[in-house]
Amino acid sequence: MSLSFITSAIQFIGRVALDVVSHLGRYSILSFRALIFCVVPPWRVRSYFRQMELVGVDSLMVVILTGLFTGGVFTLQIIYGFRMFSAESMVGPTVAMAMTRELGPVLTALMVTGRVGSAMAAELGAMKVTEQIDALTVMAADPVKFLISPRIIAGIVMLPILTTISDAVGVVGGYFVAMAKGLDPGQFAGRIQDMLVMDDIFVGLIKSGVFGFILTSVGCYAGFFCKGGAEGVGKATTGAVVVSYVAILVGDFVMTAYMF
Amino acid sequence: MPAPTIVVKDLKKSFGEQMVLKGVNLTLDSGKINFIIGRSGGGKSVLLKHLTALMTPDSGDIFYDLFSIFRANKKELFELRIHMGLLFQEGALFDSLSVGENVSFPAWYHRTMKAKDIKEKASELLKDLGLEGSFTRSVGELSQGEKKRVAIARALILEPQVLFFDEPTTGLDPLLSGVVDELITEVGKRTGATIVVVSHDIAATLTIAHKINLIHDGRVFLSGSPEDFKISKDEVVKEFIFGEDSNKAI
Ligand SMILES: Nc1ncnc2c1ncn2[C@@H]1O[C@H](COP(=O)(O)OP(=O)(O)O)[C@@H](O)[C@H]1O
Ligand SMILES: [Mg+2]
Repeated sequence: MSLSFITSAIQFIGRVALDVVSHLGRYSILSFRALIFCVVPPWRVRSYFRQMELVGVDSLMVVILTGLFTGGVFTLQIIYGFRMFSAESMVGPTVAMAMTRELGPVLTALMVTGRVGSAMAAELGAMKVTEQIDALTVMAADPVKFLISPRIIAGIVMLPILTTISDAVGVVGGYFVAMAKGLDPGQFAGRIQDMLVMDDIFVGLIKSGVFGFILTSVGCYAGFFCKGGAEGVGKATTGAVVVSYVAILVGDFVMTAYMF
Repeated sequence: MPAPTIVVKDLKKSFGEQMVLKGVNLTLDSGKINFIIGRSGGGKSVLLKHLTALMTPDSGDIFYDLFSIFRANKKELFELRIHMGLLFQEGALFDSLSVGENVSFPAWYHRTMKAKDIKEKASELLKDLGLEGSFTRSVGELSQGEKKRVAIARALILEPQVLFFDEPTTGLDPLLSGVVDELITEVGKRTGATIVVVSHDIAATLTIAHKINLIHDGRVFLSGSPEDFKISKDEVVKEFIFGEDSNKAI
């Protein structure tokens, strides 16, 4: 009995491992092809701009709100501690650094995943199960080039821009909170310029570009390979969000630990 | 590319335990209207997806003249598909595009005509199919029968040399069915394309087909002219041509 338990456990682990490897394989091939197609003419510039609008412009409001309140609440938290050591002049630089290096990129990516990554999975999933993707193939219109390349590029380009806005708005949020807590403007802003170096901003922007790639490519992959009608589309959508969240947070840790 | 003769050789396909195609052999004649009939769930749509290389078989092959579509490389397949039109059973219209954009899509994507000519051609096709003035409507608001006709127009716009129709008249009233049947015949005459129609409509099959292939139990049961089918004494064939009650009637 114990032997059959062991063999079935090993079988289970084997199956899961095979599953993961096959997903990773197909995901890598799909992403790679989508990236290659970006540099192969002919380009349909209009669909690239359309996706940039959907990813970037349409996410602006939610990104601004997130940035504003994150900067605000972060300031609220640190201001007491910093007061104890009379380090009020460090509040501004700390907020700016936290926003540009960590909070801006990560929170922007998570918000955009919820808005855009899930929508991409749902849209491509619906196209898959209603054979619209097969229809593209039969018309000799490569669905990877036509549907996926513009989405991934939109993610890589727009996430850093959104993140920059989020960073700026977050510092503004921190500024308002600091004023409300009795700091004066000079105390808050005075040392930001000499404490915050260009590297902090670059680190954040590179991270956000990677996150933009992750959330769009995972969303597209989930939709593109989805099966089984409306239920399958639902599963693909939730799956895309969960996997993107985890990948973004793990990716953030790895990049922070080993690269920056 | 001239209209090809398509030869299917011992095509087999299973989904899990279920063997859908058990060795299909048939020839689809160049420039002719070839029908494929058979009971629902018998693998007709699956066969069309193999004919268009959307699915790959477990074994067997399909030749366009002497050219194997499963051994073709990407570029060859691309060239072939430029000359191919497929009407999906469920239409498969792009629901993010309008009716007119759907019909124009293949021409727009491959830039085969000027924008003005594309629009003219698309409007003309829609008019032929009784959808005049629907150019700017959104796909979501169409009835099933309207969707089917828009999808037919989309399959025709590039005037392909090979045309596949998966149940083109299912869901249409008799009048519109007649219009579609006429259109298929007319397109065949005008373009000389190889046409393949999957159909349940026996009356239309016997009128407009040049050749009929009956799929039964995963194989081609009978292949021949409408005359061959009308005079056949076989029970399976009679059931299809005269309906379930053919025995009692005799
Ligand atoms: N992608 C697929 N995966 C699994 N089974 C399929 C798939 N496509 C078709 N089938 C099965 O193959 C059989 C034949 O389907 P189909 O070709 O659509 O029949 P029809 O002759 O009515 O067009 C059906 O039982 C269907 O469930
Ligand atoms: Mg079918």
